[in-house]
Amino acid sequence: MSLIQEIDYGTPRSKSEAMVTLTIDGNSITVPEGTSIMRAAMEAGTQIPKLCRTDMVDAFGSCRLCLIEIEGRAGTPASCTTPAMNGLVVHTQTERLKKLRKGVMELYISDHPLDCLTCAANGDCELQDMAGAVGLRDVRYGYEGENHVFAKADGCTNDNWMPKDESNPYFTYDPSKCIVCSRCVRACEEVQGTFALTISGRGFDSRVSPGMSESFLGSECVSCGACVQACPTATLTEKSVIEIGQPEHCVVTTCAYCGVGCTFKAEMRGEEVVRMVPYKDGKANRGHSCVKGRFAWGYTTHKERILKPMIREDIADPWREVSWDEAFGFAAAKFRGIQQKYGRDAVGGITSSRCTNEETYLVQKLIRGGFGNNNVDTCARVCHSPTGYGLSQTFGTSAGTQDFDSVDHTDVVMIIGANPASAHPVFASRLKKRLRQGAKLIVLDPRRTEMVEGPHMKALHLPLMPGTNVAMLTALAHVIVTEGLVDETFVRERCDWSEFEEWATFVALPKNSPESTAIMTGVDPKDLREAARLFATGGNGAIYYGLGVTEHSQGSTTVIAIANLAMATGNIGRSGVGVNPLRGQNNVQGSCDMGSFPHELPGYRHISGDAVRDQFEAMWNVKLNPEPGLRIPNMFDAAIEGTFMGIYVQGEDILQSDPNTKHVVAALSSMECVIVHDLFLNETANYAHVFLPGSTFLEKDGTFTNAERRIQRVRKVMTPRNGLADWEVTIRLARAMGYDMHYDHPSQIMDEIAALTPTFAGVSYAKLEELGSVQWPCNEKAPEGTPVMHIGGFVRGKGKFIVTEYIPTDERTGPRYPLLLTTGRILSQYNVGAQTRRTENVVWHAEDLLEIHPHDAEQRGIRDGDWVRLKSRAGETTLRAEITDRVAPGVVYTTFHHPDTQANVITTEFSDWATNCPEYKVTAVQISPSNGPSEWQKAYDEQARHSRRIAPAEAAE
Amino acid sequence: MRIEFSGRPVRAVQVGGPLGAYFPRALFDTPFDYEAFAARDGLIGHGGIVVFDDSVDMAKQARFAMEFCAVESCGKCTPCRIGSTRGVETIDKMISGERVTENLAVVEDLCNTMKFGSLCALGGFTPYPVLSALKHFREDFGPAPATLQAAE
Repeated sequence: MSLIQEIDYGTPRSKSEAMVTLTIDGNSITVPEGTSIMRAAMEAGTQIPKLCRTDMVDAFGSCRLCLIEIEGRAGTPASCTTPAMNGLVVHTQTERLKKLRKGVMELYISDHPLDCLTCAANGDCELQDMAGAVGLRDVRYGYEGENHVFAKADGCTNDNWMPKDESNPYFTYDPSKCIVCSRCVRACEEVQGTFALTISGRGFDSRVSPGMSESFLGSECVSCGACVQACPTATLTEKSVIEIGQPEHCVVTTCAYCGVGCTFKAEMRGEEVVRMVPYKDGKANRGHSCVKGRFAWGYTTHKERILKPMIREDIADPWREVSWDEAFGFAAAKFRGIQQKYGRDAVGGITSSRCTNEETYLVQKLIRGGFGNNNVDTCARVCHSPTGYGLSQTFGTSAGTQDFDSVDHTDVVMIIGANPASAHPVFASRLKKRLRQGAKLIVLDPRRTEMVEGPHMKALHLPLMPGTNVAMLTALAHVIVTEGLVDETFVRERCDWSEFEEWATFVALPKNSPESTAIMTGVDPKDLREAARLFATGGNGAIYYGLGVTEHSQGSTTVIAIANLAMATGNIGRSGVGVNPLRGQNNVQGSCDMGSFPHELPGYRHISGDAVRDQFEAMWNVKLNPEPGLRIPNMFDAAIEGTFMGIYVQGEDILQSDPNTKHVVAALSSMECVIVHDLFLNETANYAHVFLPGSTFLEKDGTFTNAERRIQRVRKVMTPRNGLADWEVTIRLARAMGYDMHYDHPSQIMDEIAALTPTFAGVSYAKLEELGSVQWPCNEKAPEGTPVMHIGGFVRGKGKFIVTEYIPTDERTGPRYPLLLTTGRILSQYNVGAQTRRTENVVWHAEDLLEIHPHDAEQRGIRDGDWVRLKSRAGETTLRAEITDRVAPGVVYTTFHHPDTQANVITTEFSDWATNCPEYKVTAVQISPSNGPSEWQKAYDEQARHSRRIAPAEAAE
Repeated sequence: MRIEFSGRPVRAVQVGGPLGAYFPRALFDTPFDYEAFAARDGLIGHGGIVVFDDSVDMAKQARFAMEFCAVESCGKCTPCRIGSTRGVETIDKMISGERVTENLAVVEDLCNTMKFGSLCALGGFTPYPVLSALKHFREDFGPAPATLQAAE
């Protein structure tokens, strides 16, 4: 498709239901009350000249170009700030207006460079467009007056001139081209919510200022790109546009980073991506983006990307580049050999939560149909598997209940164990917008995250001790039950009453009161009571939670407790409420949906169920094993035992992201054939025998399912640099292993999925083209998908209340390990950093730092920036310290984006009782000063270097 | 209260503050009334009266109006933010005799843009002193254009 020029209506859409009718240039038009005349005219097909407005932000009325005449009203009001009213008769083009608009443009151009032909915005500049639209022919003021354009005037330095700011790696700020329309400032305020920009100075001196007239990189700017999108001139432009030029066609696709699943237009010249621009019609992001999706897609062409298949007999050997067929043959022979020697269950695989639904489906099909066992698992094991368990027990489905738009109707938001500002930034911006409109926020987190305090935002922060989630949530429930704040009508109608009564009796026990639990949680009972009352009585209450809930030994219990709270307060089944797990990866929801768990077929149906299995056996033409297979932690244990010897890992770095690194190393070293299918030589590849180069989201067709259960298209924009799309790789690997799967295009794979899975029955590429996206369930009962679930009734029938007894984790602090380590993410890097470390984002976060409270640091003689040793019962590592009071005394925090940090050497083997989700969030540690990297880190680094060698190709004779 | 008189004849009066119109002696019979002043392109404003004797240079007064606007401008709207600075520059050109007729037209157009295009009354009223000075005290704004010589 050619370049999609999305219509900019000038001002945001009005949500009113009442309509008004007015006449514009002789045409009658009816619009919702509250619509500006400018937008009404645009909808009627008339473009009123405009510069300072865009429908991303509210009207401002500063450029004075959009003036109109209204019969019966004096003067020439601005159409952007004048609301449409019944009976108005508007004229958009008269002699008076023509003269005024020319006058305004003449003033603009008198202070603007005239280098259109060599300017980066040539062809995409609204100033150019408006000068043409109003018929500007002459700037009679000349160019010798005061200006911001020339660095020197008559040999003297021009004090008004500022040089270009090129500090941000992705875009430049050129003050000489700025027309002070302040669209960037408003975008940073209204869309992003960071408030990093302002206009400094006054009158003619007005200039856009990041922070306190700092550089963009030095200011609070988070590089989301909203200002660049909003800027009508070349003042804020992407560096890639400056280098390459204007794009000529675009393809709408979905971002491959986090679970928000922003829709982007990939703007291209041929097969080169010029830039990624957020798509206004994206239902998850509504035209906004974050630094990662918007700018950090350069890893696709990074020099470290592996483009040829490689094999080796022994991990101590260098890699040998081979053809695809040789690689497939080698892998297939190894796997067959392993199965013959050790048994059918000695091999397995891990699906990727970053690859498409179709690709994940094929991997589990290969394992079930080709290998003949159910040893398949996915990274959701280590993040949201408790969500799956907890919500399916209480509600009947293991996914979030709302869409992101729901936050616009929420009155009280409770965030538990999540930091959307870092991990789901576009959602955080929408949430912050709602908070600025008056909604309230409660944050349960050991750390004072960016969600607790921000511009125009203050949360009720309950800083609990890591590991005490269940005690906290039960205490909140205690307040709600004992103070009579339960929504009894809802509970009687929608839930099992006797189960509720049992639960209510339990939470009402004195030991579960805020006062009694305070000793464990560390939270002031007064604040806790206030939070509970606010949530129960403040209107629509919604809970958003993340890995601070699930990555605990009581992760599933906590999810159940959350569900209990939502049910008790009647906050399910409509817009503005709900239980919302913030799924991390771009397709982890999809990966789970596609049957990546060892005990479930696609659609979350147990493998032992005969009826379902028969269906699959018929479609796949193969007998299936009814025994559930190994979960990832079990795979490692079995490998060390000697019974699990071959693994096919697609798009996941288990060595960097799974806990207890030494255990993973032992497991991988024990295996006879490790196949890694990925973009780069990641940590797992250090122990691999076969490397299959993968393709990026820009190089394949497919679908991703985001945290809202929304299935969105991923569209190919360039030929895969490695030669094959990932789904093609899996098919050919399967064929080499003797299991034939034939598909010409991923749409056929989706058709098969739809045929076998009731919740997906209505999904097809044709439907996705038509509707843009659908949220499952999408079938006869809901042909256009299901934005909000459990309306009227829970999927399982009646909502189930389950008693949640607090059992502290076995990971206890003690004299040798007196501090508690918890982990998290940062905005600019993504998870293990495989992609983001290979982009310019490293400028923001070049290493992981350990956050430590000043009190704890002082006791140990640690200064800011010192190397410290972080030691737990599992292992130790070294990293630099950052002293901050964002963490409480007794708690330390780090991120895990860089492999040399080896953060997972520290994390333990403890995991959730129901799902084995590792307890990353609670590790007892001791911190002490250090001289440098630990022995383990040095040895690891050495092994990694050795393992990454690629043998040069043999010279031809 | 002591009032200092210069002893010289009155030349102009400005009613309503720095953005009020300048009235010449010929208009001194205007009733002190909103509509009456508006009918003669003046305004009551804050009701204050400033009296000027014949040593006043009305070109400098017009320039001052533009300069005042530029100094006080908030910068939000284009007509005032850029227009006031350009207004000062253009009046300066007229005072120095540079292409007076053309620049007069430019100033008049600029005043029209500012009067009807500005977001608020700062830019909106600056044209009052400027246009009234140009209308009633044209002789202060640089030499009158030379009459064209008839071709021989």
